[in-house]
Amino acid sequence: MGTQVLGEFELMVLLAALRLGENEAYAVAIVDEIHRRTGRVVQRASVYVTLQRMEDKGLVSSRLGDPLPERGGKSRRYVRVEAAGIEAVRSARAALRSMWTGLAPLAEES
Amino acid sequence: MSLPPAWARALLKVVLPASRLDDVLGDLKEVHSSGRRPQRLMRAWFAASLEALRIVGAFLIYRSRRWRTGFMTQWVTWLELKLGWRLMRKQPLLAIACVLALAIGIGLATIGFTLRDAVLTDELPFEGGDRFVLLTIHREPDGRRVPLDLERFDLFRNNADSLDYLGALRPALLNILHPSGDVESIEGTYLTPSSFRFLPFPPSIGRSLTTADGQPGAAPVVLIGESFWERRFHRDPAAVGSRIEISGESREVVGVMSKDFQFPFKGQLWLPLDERNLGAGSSGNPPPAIRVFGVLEEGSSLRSAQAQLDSLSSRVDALHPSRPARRIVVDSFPQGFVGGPADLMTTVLVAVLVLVLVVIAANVANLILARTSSRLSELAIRSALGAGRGRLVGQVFLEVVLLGVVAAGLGLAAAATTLGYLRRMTDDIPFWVTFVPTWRTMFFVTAITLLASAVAGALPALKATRQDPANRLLSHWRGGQVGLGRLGGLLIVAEIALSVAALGGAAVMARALIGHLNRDFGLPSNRILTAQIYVEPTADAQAAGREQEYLTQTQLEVIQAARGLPGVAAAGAATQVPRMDPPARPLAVASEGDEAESAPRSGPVAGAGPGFFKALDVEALAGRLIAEPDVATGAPPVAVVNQPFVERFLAGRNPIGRRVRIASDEGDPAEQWRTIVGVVRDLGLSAADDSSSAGIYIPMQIGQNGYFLLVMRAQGDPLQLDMPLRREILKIDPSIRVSHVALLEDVGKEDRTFFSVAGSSLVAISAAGLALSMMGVYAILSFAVQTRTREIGVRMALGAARGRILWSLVGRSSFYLAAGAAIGSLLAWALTQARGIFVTRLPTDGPGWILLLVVVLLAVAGLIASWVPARRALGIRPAEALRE
Repeated sequence: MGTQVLGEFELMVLLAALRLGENEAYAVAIVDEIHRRTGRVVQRASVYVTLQRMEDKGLVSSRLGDPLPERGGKSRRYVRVEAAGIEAVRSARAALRSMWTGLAPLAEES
Repeated sequence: MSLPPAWARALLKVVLPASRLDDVLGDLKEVHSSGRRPQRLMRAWFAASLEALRIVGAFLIYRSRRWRTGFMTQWVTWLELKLGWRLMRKQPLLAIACVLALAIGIGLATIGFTLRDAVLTDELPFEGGDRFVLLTIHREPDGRRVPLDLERFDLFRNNADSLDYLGALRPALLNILHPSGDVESIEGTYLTPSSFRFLPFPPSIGRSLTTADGQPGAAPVVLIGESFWERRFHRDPAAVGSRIEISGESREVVGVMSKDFQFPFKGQLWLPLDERNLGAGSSGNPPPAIRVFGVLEEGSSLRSAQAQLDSLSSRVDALHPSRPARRIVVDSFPQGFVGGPADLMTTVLVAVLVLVLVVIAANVANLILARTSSRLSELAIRSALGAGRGRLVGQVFLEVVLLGVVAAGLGLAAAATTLGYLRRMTDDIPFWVTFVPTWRTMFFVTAITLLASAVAGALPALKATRQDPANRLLSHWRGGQVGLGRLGGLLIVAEIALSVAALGGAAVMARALIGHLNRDFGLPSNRILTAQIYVEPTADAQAAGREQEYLTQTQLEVIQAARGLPGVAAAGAATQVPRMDPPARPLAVASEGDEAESAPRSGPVAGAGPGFFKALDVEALAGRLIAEPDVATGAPPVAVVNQPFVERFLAGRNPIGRRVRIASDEGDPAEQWRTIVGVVRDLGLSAADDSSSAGIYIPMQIGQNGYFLLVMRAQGDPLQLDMPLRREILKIDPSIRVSHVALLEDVGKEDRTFFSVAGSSLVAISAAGLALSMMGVYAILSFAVQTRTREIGVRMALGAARGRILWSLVGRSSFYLAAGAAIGSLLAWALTQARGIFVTRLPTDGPGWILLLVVVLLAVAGLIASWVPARRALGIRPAEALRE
């Protein structure tokens, strides 16, 4: 099976999860990370569905943490990016770099 | 206030995968409560609710996309749906034919299953109604039904743990004396009042009956229905507490029941029945009309109740070994009332309708087959381009389902309308029979029809796509065939046969109806009033052992009172009046001289009391009529015959002085020879069937049983005699029941309605069936012409005669028509002979004349169906056909 082609939002979610690490990456933190680094406000609902879709494809896996009192005794679901997910991210980066080649002046203007 | 709110949590629980629910709820609480973003409570509540809705929406879309992707990529796309719709628009006749066929099948099956549900239901339609049971008591060894004795009733009531309650009821026709002096007969029920504890129907005003009302010496009370309250009291609440005279007794109205309450059968009045002795007189036995019912204990079954009552009943039998034993039968309340032949009839009805459904689904398959075959090239090309077999078959499947959805709407609407009409036409049915199709029935019928048709429609596509597409194209271009072959032909034969049989049935009904409508027996029917009279011996008469004497005296008083009414020219009594079609009995005529002994033949027998023929204004054609001395006890047995009897039984010979006897299969010695004393003309002993009109009249013994028909000829308007008659009868005995007061010309109205409705329905079914058959013939011929174009072209180029070509095309379909007509005619004849299972008053001579009609009809229809394809075939130019 070839490398999965990621959508733009899927890429952002995976990158945020990689930045946070498997002990910190859960939906609420991912939303905050994306907002902090890009200024974009994303809906947690979209993140849930995206994580579910990527878990179905095998790009990520998830586990439940310990129950927390501030969450009414409910656990957080932490996300871990799997090898297929990392491969997909690398592939997306390579594709973008290739597309950006020769467009350096455009990149510097912003 | 919880975050998120309870309703949002419930929604999330439905939509989210189970493994995700907790962490999502936890995230919502973490974000919107004091954990991460402290905010005021209401604001937090709204924000959490909104986010929960977003999550629900997102997952719903995600799930629907997953489902649609899976289904659509495997079976069919929106494009194919559009293609299917476009193809149907290209062949509208075919689409309409399929829709009509499916609609008829769905409609008929819905009607059949609804009728069956109505007749075979086990539960009364109210809370706890499934626990109501009816007890029937049979005397051994002859199995005759008898009333329950009080000893057994008490034993059951006190010892049967499987029953929560044991009660009794007695339907009655009650005489209501209105303040205006008018007398009205209304159906009511005597009911053990404590049964109201188990009937979840509170009164609209006042109270219902209580246990105290059923105690000996309690004040006479009555509960009235809402319809009666409207008519008598104009919905005045002051009705409660007022008094009504019912069958000679003044009773206080204690409450009004809503229109929903109709227990036990239907009626407007409920009177308390003595809880202890169930209305038994000094004889100690409850009246014969008493029915015993019970309410099962929670958790008990019919079987356990039956076993326990059997055991208790055998104890009573053991105490009285000289008496015949009793057998108790416990059944659900509705089945206890209905039961018997209704079971068989509805099962046969459903079987016939399922058969019709199968034939219709097969007809749809035939039509789809023809259509699929015309698209072989398209299917082959699509297959060559990569479309899977499942996809191609799925499209055909989907097209049939699309047609079926439209058909389901039409069919169910037609069924609901027909059932509503049937409900309005029928009066005498219990309250639990509503003729309303349940959602479960409609869904089941629609699903089964669609599934059967879709599968049947997909089969030809499966067959068509079985081969490699290239070979399929080649064989199609070479003139190969795809089809159901013999199976398709068999289906058409079956359809035609069913249609012909239905047409035969319609013809029988039409004859019966015509017999009723058109026959004029020369009677002044619009000046004769008839009434059914039922006299019951009073408790005193029973106690004194004078029942027979009481019945005789009372019935004579009624006849005398009728004769004495102003405006009455003559009055008499009988067991039957013209057009009532009495059951036929075997009649034997004694041979005389050198005549050969002849076997008994069937003929109607009616009882005629004194004054009957005078009331009909009929005189004897020969001899004399039945007179007063003939009905006296011990009088010599005599009979009066009608003219058809003289012609058929005696070949026109003089009947006066000859002897006739009602024979019996068992050779009952009690049937005696009667001397024929007179002849009357045909007075309509059997209006529906001319061949059974030859019959006899025998003297009716007044007081022999409680029931007889009063016949009065009026000098003026006979309907004006109704109320005066009722008032006079009320004076004689308030409990005498007077019902079915009608002009002689209206007698048999229910039969005429039945023949009319049944005949029209059968004509409709027959016409629909024939139309579908012709479409099937058309489809098969079109298909044959299409696939054999090349062959026809070659034959014409070689000089074949047009007639031979035509015959090669239509020969097979002509065979189908002939075979279907032959089988259908046999079926129609067989059903006519077996009519006794369903309705006895139908003509017996078979539908011979309709055979000619059927042959002509089928020939014409077959000609029409064959014409277009045949013209197309003969219009083929050999050069063009060879080029194709």
